Amino acid sequence: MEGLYLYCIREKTESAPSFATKGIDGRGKVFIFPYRELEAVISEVSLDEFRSEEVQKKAQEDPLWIREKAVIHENVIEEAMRKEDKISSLIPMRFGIIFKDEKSLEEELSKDYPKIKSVLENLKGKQEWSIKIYLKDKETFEKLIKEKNETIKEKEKEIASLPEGLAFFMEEELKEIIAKEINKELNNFAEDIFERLKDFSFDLVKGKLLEKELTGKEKPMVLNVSCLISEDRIEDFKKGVGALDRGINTKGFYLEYSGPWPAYNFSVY
Amino acid sequence: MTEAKMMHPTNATNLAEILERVLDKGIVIAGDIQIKIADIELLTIKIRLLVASVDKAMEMGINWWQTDSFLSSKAKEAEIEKENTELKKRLGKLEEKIKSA
Repeated sequence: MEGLYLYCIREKTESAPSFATKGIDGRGKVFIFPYRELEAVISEVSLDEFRSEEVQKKAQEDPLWIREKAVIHENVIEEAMRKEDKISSLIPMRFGIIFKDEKSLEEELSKDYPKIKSVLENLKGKQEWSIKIYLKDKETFEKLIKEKNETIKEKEKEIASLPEGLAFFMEEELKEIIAKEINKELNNFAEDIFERLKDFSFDLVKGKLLEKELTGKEKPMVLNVSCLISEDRIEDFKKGVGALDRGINTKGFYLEYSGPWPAYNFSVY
Repeated sequence: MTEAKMMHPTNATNLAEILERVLDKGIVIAGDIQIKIADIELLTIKIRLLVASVDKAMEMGINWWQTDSFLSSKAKEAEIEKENTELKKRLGKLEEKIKSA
């Protein structure tokens, strides 16, 4: 039995509906299913291979399989999103949405039609970009905080005025205070950056802080933001990000940004 | 002065970024089949562990670590080994946590 794997929904295009990227099963042709002013980007899959239990089992036993599938899913959507240099907005699906036939897909498109139209309308002329900030040099940041944090400075003054024996015990307390204050300042720092990104963004959303095991990076992530940027502000955004990076570099941080992404974070309905 | 590092999504270099979006974000429209991936974070760690075995990755044509200076130096191999052991430990703990959940 064959089913239809759905990648994304976009507005009707003029372009020839042929895709260079092969479908999620590595074989099937990716094609277009038109519905009113919409196009669903789909490919045929074997329902035996893509049964929910089957895929869950595969994901557990063979994680590289799921990695490969996720990358194909992304590549198909990337191709649907790009035409020469132009980026068109579309609604990306989450991995693993399958219809048993065209009739069933059409019913769903018909049912959700107003919602789909309104999301597409909202995304029109906008792109999703990702910004991730990492703490590159903990010592630099800690040093900066210690120099100007009032709570820490007061405690240090207090300790300095104590006789040596007593001061020794206070050192532990100071260490705790420093750790707490640095955590607080780190949060403030992230909040501040998030606020500044608002200047460039039509909309923005914080993502989970990904652990080192997930990012494969040596340094810890301190901020993960997805921004929805108007096309005519992309250059401003890039310049802003460059300036931001130079600013945070001196404080011991660095940033990485990427895009345009399909609007995974802004297609909620 | 280091410039902000710009990465292109299509390079598919940033595995975490792709998995984060494809498996966890995007619209969930009511299909006839909706595949649910249980623990994406655990999955990503597993994938990284597999890919950390460089020979296997080469064989499969995966080369994202070559752009990652943290992993590219031969001298860091011992460190990778250490990290591998550490990750396996954490993975074991995570798996236990899931089993008992």
